[in-house]
Amino acid sequence: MSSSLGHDPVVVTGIGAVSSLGPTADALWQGVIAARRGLGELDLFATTSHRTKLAGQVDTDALPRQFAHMSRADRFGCTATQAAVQDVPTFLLQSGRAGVFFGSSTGALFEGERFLAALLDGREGDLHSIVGLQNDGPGNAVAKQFGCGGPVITYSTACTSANVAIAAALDALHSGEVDLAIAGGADELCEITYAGFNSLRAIDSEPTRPFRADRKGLLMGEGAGVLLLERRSHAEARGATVLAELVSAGRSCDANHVSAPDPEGRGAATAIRQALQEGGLVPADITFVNAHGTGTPHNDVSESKAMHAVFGERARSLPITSTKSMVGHLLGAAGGIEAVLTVLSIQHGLLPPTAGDAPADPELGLDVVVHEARTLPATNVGLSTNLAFGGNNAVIVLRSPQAAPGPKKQAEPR
Amino acid sequence: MTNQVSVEQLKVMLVDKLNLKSVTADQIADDNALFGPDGLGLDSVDALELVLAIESEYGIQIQDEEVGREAFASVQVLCAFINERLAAGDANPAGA
Amino acid sequence: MSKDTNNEVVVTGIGCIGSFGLGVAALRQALATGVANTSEINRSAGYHRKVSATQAATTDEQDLTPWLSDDDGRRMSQFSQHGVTCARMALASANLHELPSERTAVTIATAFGPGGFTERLALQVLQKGGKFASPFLFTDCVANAAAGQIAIATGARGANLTICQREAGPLLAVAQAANDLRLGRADVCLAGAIDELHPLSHAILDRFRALARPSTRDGVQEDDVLEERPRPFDQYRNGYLAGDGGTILVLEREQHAVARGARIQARVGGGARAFDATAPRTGHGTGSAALAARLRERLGAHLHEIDAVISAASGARRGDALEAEILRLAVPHMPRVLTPKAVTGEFGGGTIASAMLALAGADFGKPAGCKHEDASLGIEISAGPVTARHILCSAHAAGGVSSWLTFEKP
Repeated sequence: MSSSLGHDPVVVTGIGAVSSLGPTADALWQGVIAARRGLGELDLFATTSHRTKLAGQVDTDALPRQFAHMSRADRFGCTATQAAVQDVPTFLLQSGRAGVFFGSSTGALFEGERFLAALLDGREGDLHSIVGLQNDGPGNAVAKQFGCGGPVITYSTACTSANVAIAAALDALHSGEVDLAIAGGADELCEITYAGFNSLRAIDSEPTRPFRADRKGLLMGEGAGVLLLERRSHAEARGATVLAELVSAGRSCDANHVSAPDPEGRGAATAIRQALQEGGLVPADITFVNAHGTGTPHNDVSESKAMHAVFGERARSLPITSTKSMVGHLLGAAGGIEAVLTVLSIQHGLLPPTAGDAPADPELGLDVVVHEARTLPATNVGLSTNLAFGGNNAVIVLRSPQAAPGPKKQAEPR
Repeated sequence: MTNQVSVEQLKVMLVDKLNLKSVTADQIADDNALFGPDGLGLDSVDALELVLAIESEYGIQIQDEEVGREAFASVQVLCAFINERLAAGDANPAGA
Repeated sequence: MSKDTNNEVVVTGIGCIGSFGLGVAALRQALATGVANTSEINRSAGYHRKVSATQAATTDEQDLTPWLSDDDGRRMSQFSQHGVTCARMALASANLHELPSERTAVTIATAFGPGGFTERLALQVLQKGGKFASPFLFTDCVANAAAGQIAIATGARGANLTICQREAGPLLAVAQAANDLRLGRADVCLAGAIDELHPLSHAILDRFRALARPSTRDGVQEDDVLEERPRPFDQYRNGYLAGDGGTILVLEREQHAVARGARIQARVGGGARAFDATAPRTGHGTGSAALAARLRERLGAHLHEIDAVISAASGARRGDALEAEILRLAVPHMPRVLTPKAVTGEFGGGTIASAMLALAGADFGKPAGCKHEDASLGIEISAGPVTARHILCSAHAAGGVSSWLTFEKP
C-alpha cells in the first residue's frame, strides 16, 4: 500500500458540523451525549400530502447570516467549513495546495423544487437560488468561499458520499498533491427525497429506532459535517492541535440490488476489511463503531451481519451506536457528520448512545450503546460505516493521535 | 354495488405499471407467483410500485406489513384481496 | 504470469453512445465531418423562455438491445440504460468476458444524473402529492444509479464511485480510476461519464446563458453566424451545444492487461486538477495564470511532449478564452488543438472517446461553426487525421473546477 502510511499520518485538525441539534459541532456533541433527539415535525415544506411528518430539520435562524444568500446545503457546508478552518491562515487555504473533497446527494434540490414549482405555475423562478443546484454545489461553494486553489471534487454516491470524499482526501494527502484538505459533505431536506424514501416505506412515522426490534425505518436529516485534514508534519509545523488521526478507508459495492443492501452484508464486510488492511490494522484494534444504523429493518440486519463477519464473536462486545437516532440520516452528509462525531468520541473518550427507550434487538447480537453514553478506553480506534443505494459501501477509520516522533503538541482546552 | 376488479384488468395493470417486457397480460396465469425466480421474478420494489398503482387506481390503502405478503402471492390472490377490500367499502380515493 | 511490476494503467476497451450514434465507429465518422447531429429540444412543457436556445445533441431512442435486454432495462432510467450499455460495449471491445469481480471498480462522472426520472418524480410530488411518488423512479433517480446498475450488470464489487463536477467530471473520473488501479486496489476499472439531458435542464442551462444561440450581433452579414451552433474558439461563439450520452473506458493495470493478452489502446498518463476561485458559480473565471501554474507543477516537462490537445473548448464565451490563455502559458509550443465538443456537445464524456480516437489516428474535421477565428485567442483549428502520440485532455467546469489528463500511445 502507500509507502507514506505510518511515516507521516494524516490527522484531523479541525471539525465543523451543522445539524438539527444546532449550528456547531459543540451543540451536536452536547445533544448526542444527552441522547437528545433533534427530530420533529418538519415545516420546510407542507407534509399534508406526504406519508409522514418527521425529520431532523436544521433551524436556519441559528446559523450565521453570512451565508444566508446561499442554498441550504451550500450554507450548511460553508458554515461547517468555517468552523473547521477557523485557525488556518488564509494564505494556506488560498494556495493551490488546499483542496475540497465533498459529498452531496441533493445539491440545492429543495430550491430546485421551488424553481420548478414556479415554472409550473407560469411564473419565473429565482435563478439565483439554484446556482448550486447540481450535486457539486456545496463543494464549489466552499472552495469559492475559502479561496482554495487545489483539487475540488464532489462525490455523489448517495448515503456514502461524504465517506467516499474523505477517502479521496486521504489519498490526495498521502500522495502529496495537497497539504490541506477540507473533507466532508452537505445535504438538505427536499420533497423528492422525502417522498422517495416514503415510497419505499422506509421512513418511520415515529422517531427512528435504529437497532431496536420494533424499528420501522429511517428519519431524514440535513446539515453538514466537515473535517480539516493535513499530514501530521504539516500540522506540527504550523502548530495546529491534532484531534485525531485519519487512518484509512475502504470502499466496495454489493453488486446486488439498487436499493436494498446485501442481506448478508458481504459488501460492507469487504469495505471494512479493506480499511483494516490499508490501515495495517486487525479487527481486534477497533474499539468502537459509529454505525450506518439507519433504522430500516433491512439495513440494521445487513450491517450486523457484516459486523459478525469481520469481528466474529467480538461483535457481541464491540460498542456500536447509531447517531442517526438523534440527527436523522443526512444522506450525502451522513459520513461527514458521523466522522465529526467519531473524532469527538475519540477526543472525549465517550460513545454517544443510540437514542430510544427500548433495549437493543437481541437478534442482531451487537453491543448497542443505549440509554446513556459509554465510556471508552484511553486510546481508541473508531470505525464509521456508511452503506448506500446502489449497493455502495464506504467506511473510514479514525484513531487517537499517536505520539509524534518529535516534541509532542499537547491539546489544551483553552 | 361495489365495482369489482377482474384478474384480466389486474394483469393489464401489472404489465403496464411494472413495465414488464418479456410477458404480455394474457401470458400470465391466474396462479402465477408474482415474486421469485419461479414466478414473474418481481421484487420488493415492484411490490411497492404495485401498491402505489392499487392505491391510485382503486383508492385502497395498503399497510406496510401487508406489502409483499400473502396478498401478493399471485394475480388471483391479489385480485381477491382487492375485491374483498372494495366490497368492505375500504375504498378511499387517495387521489381525490 | 508477468514479472512486470510496473504501475502503469492502460485503456483496453471503450464503449460510447451519443447523438452521433452507438459505438466509436459512429463517433469517428461524426468527428470527421465536424458537424454535430443536433435536434430541436422539446419546449412544449413550457420550461423555456420565449427566446432561448433550441438545439441539443441528445441521444435519441437508439436500439440498445444488443447490450441491454428489455427485461434488464425495464426499471432503469435512460441514464442507467446508457451506463450499462456503454459498460458492456467497453468490456466486449476489451475482450474481457470474465471480470475479476472483487477487483473491478466502477467510476462514473455525471453532471445531471438521471434528470428524466428526477423530473418525473418531482412532477408527481409537486402536482399530485408526496404519497404518489413512484418507487421505480426513486430507486433509479440518484446520481450513482448508473454506477450501481453497472455493478449489478457486470458483477463489479470493487469501489463504486460517482463524481459530480459538471464539465470536469469525465477527466476527474478517469484520473480517479487510474489512481485506484495504481494503488493496487483493483485490477480493472470501468471509468467514464454518463449524462442525460432533458428539456428542464436545457431550459435551466439556457437561463444561465450557457448555451449557443443564434448570433444577435449588429453588423453580422454572413448567414452562417446567425445559426445556433457551438463555435469553439470562434469570434462569434456565444455558448455551447448541450448534449448527452456516455463514454466508458476499460482501464486495467498494465500487468493485468498484458497477462491476459489484451490489446492496449492507450496508456493513461499524469493529470492535474485545480480550482479557480475567481469563477462565478455558474461560469468561468479569469485565473488562467494560477491554473496554468498548477498544470505545470503537476505535469512538468511532460508538457513538452504533448503533440495534440483534446480541448475543453466548447464555444463557451469565457470558458474558451480561459482555455486559450492556459494553453498559451502551459503548452507554448502549441500542439494541434482539437475541439470535439463541437460535434459531441457538452456532457456525456465525448472528449474521452475522442481522445482514444485521436490516438488511433482518426480524422478530425474542422467544426462547422468555426469560420471566424478569434485572433485574440491565438488558437488555430486545423482539419485532418491526427498523428499524435501524447495527448493532453482539458476540461473547465462552470463554477471553477479544472482538470487535465494525458493519454499516450502504447
